[in-house]
Amino acid sequence: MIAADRATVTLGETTLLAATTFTVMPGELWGVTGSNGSGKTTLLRAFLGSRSLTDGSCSVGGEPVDMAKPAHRRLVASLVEPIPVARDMTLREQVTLVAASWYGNAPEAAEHAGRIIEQLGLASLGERFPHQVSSGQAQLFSLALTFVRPAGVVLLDEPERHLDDHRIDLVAGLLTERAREGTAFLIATHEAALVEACDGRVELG
Amino acid sequence: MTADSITVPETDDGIRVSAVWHRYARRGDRATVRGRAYTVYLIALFVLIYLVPVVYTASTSPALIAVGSPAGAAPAAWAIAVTVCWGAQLAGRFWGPLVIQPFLLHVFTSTDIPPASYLGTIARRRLAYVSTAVLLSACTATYLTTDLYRELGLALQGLAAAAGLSALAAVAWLWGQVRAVPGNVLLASAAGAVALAVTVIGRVAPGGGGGLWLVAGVLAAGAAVIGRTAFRSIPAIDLARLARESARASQAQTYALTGTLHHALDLYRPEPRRYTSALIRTDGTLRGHLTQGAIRALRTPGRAAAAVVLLLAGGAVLTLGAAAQEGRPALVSWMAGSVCVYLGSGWVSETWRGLRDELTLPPLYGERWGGVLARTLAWPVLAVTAGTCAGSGLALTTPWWPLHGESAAGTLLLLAGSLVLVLAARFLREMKLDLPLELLMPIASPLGDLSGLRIVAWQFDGLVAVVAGIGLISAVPSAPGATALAVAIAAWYVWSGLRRTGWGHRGLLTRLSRT
Repeated sequence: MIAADRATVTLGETTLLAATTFTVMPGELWGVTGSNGSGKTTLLRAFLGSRSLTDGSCSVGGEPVDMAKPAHRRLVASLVEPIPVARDMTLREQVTLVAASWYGNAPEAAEHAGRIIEQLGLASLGERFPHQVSSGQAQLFSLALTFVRPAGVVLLDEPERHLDDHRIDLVAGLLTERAREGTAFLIATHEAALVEACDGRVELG
Repeated sequence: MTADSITVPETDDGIRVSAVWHRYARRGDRATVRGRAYTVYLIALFVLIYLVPVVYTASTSPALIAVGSPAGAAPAAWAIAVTVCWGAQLAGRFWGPLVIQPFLLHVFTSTDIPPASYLGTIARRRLAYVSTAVLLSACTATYLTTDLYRELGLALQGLAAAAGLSALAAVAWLWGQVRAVPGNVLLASAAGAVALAVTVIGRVAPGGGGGLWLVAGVLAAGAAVIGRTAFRSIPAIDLARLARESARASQAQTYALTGTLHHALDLYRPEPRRYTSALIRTDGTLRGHLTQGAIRALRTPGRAAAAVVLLLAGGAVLTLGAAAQEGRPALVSWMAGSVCVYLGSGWVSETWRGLRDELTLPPLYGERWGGVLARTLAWPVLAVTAGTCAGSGLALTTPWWPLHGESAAGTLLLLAGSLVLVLAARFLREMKLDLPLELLMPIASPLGDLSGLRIVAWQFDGLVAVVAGIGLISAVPSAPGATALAVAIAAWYVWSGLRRTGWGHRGLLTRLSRT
């Protein structure tokens, strides 16, 4: 499903991502670990096409990464860069709006939004605006915006950011459940609980 | 798994886009009917109180500019058209018609919907708005300043040219955003070449080659071709770049709406990229103040090059204006040159910002290491002086140099006074912090509350300071007197700038002597 073949990124004489090779199949949850600056985010950006490789290749669904193609945008969901939010819409409105961008005004849109809000424990916060939630709740909100859409591949950069142990377990459970349904996950993380939930691991640095 | 195997209902792209717009339109602080009505009310008030009297006065007064024949007006129309085209392209590079709210753009770009489906409608609507605004502005400006509408035939030609201009401006704005730099250079060059060629043809052809009808026809045809190509480029637009532009525009809009336009403009400064280790010598010591300033300026080469051009051109125009005999053209030239030097003085140096920070923030550097003023002002003062003097040297070589104007010594004095004034105005502008609350206090007048005008003047205080200062010193009959007045005004600007940073009056001299 997603594969890196000697994927390398250098900037001048600095190596941002050493040659990395791996393959994540549908239904697998893989973690990318390593110290700060080892290239975790760079690797995820390479799969999003926002960072060009200087050597090797990255592919999604057997084709080179090209997010200009609608098929790739349909396949890949990500939480790598901060998601811009609308300050004048509630959490539920925003999650539903993302769902509507996939399902139109069909009842499914509200159903999907309601389900993911419930799963991430945001039901009681649904009527709040973004500035009215804590950092951890904002992180859960970003995850909800990412998970409410259909995707075959999900890229996450430190999904555990700002979360307490209970919420990390909640997120790990959700990732495992989605992986069982066939989604391929690649997550950069420093969190042991998430690494434990992974089927495979790419160690950088 | 492939993209096709993902379970998504086969909903039409148009329905999905409509669903998003529909839900977004129902958000919390959307514009209400009453809010829109209030905007219309304000515009109507403005038109009735300000515009109608001005239009009436213009209609009963002799025109400022006599157009003469349509053929004679064509070169000026071409010059305006090319300038508008270039300006629209430049505007599109920074804030184009496809810029939307970052959240909405993120929602759309995260889907498989083609960009044309959600950007095409916005582009068409905004281009129509801009085209209408340019048309109205062009017609109003020509009505107020020329005698183009004195007879029907001439007026129709003028209207047609204005319509062509508005169409070109709108599509050039889109082109500036959707096409890369080479495409924009191509259009800018083509616009200049076509304007030149048609002007030459108009000169040699019998009867002026069609006059303004030809201008209107060529502009309309050009707009059709450019518009068609620009709209076809929307599907291939760089979405990552559009996301960055939208995020920056959203932030700038917030700053502008809260009265700090200078913070908004700061967001459009280019990022330094070159000479990353040039500030420190190989032995680990810092380079001198002048070298540091020059290196920091060269880290943004495009901006530095623009500054050099502005300083040279500004210096030349300023000198020609100051040296010429009295009259409106001389004053306009003097002011325009000073404004160019003012703009160049900001672009040539990054150290103005350092000066403001050092005056307003807790001390970062040791006070005895060369002094704040030497460290931050050495480069901009030298660069602006050298650039302006070089521009003055260029002015001597032009055929417009007035042989019978002011004496060389007098011109030199006026040039020096203008330079000091411009540098002081730049200092005043760069020391600007947040909007002072007292500016929000109403100013009662027979024409209503004028506090809005004061806030606008505060936003562009550097420009206002330059124009007002040059206007004042130009009214003084002798060059030494004008220079003395310029120095006095400059001292007042510097004093005002220092007060903005919070430097107390009593401790000022002590602090300056320490640094």
